[in-house]
Amino acid sequence: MASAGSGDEKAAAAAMITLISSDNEKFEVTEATATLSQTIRHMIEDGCTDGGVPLPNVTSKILARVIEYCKKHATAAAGEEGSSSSFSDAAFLEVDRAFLEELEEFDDAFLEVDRATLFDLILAANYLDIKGLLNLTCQKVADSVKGKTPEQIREMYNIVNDLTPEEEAEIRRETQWAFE
Amino acid sequence: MSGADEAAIGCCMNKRQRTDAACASSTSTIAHLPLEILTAEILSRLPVKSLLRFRSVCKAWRSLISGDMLLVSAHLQRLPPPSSLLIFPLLLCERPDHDYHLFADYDAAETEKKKKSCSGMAFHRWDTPLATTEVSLVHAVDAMPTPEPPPQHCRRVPHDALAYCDGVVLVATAEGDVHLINPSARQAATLPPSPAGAAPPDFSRQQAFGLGRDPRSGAYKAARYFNRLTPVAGSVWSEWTAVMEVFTVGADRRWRELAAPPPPPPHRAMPGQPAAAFKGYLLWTVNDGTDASWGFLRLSLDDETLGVTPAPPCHPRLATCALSELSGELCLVRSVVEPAAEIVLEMWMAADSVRPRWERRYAIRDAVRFPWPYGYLPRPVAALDDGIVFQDEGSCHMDSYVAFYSFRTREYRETARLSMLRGYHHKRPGAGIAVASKFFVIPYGESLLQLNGCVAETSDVAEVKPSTARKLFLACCKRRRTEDVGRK
Repeated sequence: MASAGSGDEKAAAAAMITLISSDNEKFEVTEATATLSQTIRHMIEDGCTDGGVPLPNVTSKILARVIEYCKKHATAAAGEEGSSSSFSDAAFLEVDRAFLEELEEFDDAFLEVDRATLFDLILAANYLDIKGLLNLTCQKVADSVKGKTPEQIREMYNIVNDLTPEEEAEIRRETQWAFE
Repeated sequence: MSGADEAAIGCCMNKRQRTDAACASSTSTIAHLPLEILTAEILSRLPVKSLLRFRSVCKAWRSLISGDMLLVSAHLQRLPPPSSLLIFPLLLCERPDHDYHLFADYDAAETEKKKKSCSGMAFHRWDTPLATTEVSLVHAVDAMPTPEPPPQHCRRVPHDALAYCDGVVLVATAEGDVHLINPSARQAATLPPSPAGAAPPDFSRQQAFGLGRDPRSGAYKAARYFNRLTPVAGSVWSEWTAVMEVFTVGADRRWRELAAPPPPPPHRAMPGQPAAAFKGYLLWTVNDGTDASWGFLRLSLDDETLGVTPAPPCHPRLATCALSELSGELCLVRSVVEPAAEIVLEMWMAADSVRPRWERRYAIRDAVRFPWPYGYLPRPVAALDDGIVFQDEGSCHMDSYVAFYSFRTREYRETARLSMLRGYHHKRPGAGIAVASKFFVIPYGESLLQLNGCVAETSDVAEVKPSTARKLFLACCKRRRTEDVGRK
């Protein structure tokens, strides 16, 4: 996958890791892809990835999405490392910019999922410790709730309002401006 | 299961268990997220206004948003670098005794409160300070209710009685009251009076304030330095001793006097100059008049110990210099007269306050209009991507400008004249002439810090329409020749 990498990286990338989802589906990924997850990186460093990495918290449906994200971003990471070392001519920067735009488009398309999937992705990103994916998904949630009213939030996420009408009125009175 | 239940359960489970529980549920929603993700990753990305509104979603969210210092810290960490400025004008009022005093602007608050007598404080937010000339009123505080008729009983605000940290402002009045204001959450509170007793007549000349955040606990601490006249044992004489008091917002009910004095020889802070808040420390300029070594009196906000930070290796007339925090570095500005009688504004920067390695980063020509003792040095307010915003008071407070030094063109340019802030030139009935004469300009940052209930006394918040916009007149842009040394 990491085609832009150096010889060493290619050797590292050649090593394959097997990830096993909660419903026992196996996914073969390159080490470069898998190590975007700090959790898996630590497991590889500890040498406990033989026979596959069981991920009892992640379903196959979500793991497939996570791997899709990691593959794309592992290529990006390898590309960045390559360009920052010795290639900094204009042609290379041009390629970089095109690639970053492509990556942004990929991220936007990646986030076109239903709400439950988005939260499953957040939980998986948190469990696997993938910073970029966690940032991406959480920012998406933050953007979607920012302008909402408390009623809309409760409805969106099935939250039961356990405040008494008096308490609710009190909050409104304290910060009326925030409701306008 | 309700969101509150889930969050409440989340509090008593460890991370792993919570993750398992969350995954096991068939419908993942925001309420099933581990609490630390909800706090540090999602709520921390929301504007203060949204968060204050979401306090009424459910009980769990209310307590999370109202009292969680971790959320306040996480929220601050996600703040983009400051691009807006906060302007806090003071009015010069003629009192019946024909004595002129500075007051916090209460006109804006008064208008909105339908002429109810009060002396408040108004904060204006100036977005994209170089591109627009419009400032909007973000917050006006009826912080200091006064009996009729104003402004005899208005609280005077001394010239340099304002300290700030992460968008939270401390204002001390000449009478000794200390107010905390969070303009972005539109909250204000008055700290309890200091146990050190009533203020001496020249109160403001004997003390200096500071406001900072303890990086470890996330707690905000107000600090008050003052000189106290203490009898010398076995003698008829008295001497001035330096005293430091600290008030932890949200924890203390009263000011605590620190047991350990500043390091000998007595390092006294320059009275009236507020401390610069920098990476968990507060730094006051040491008074030149003492035998102390040149430098800055440093209070650690974590363990509350005092130390001295050495000054840069330049002419140590620190009384004329201004120390501030500028985009993660400590910055000292001073003026130098070069052989050709040119006055150069020098900016010395350091990344560490305990063992600073000062570096002379910028030297800007023609920025200093009136050198000490004829005027004030331009004070750096905020570093933007392409330059530095200064507040330039020239020879008097009424001649206050916001200026900009561009990294690209290396020009220092006056961009707006603050005393032309519209609506601040007026005559108030029965109160003589009031003109805006002193402006504080500080970087604007959103803070979720809730002041309601975390100090003894909270203030009424005046109802204001934040859309109330005032216009800043652009000054004629004088081209100024500049020079730049060092990086950038």
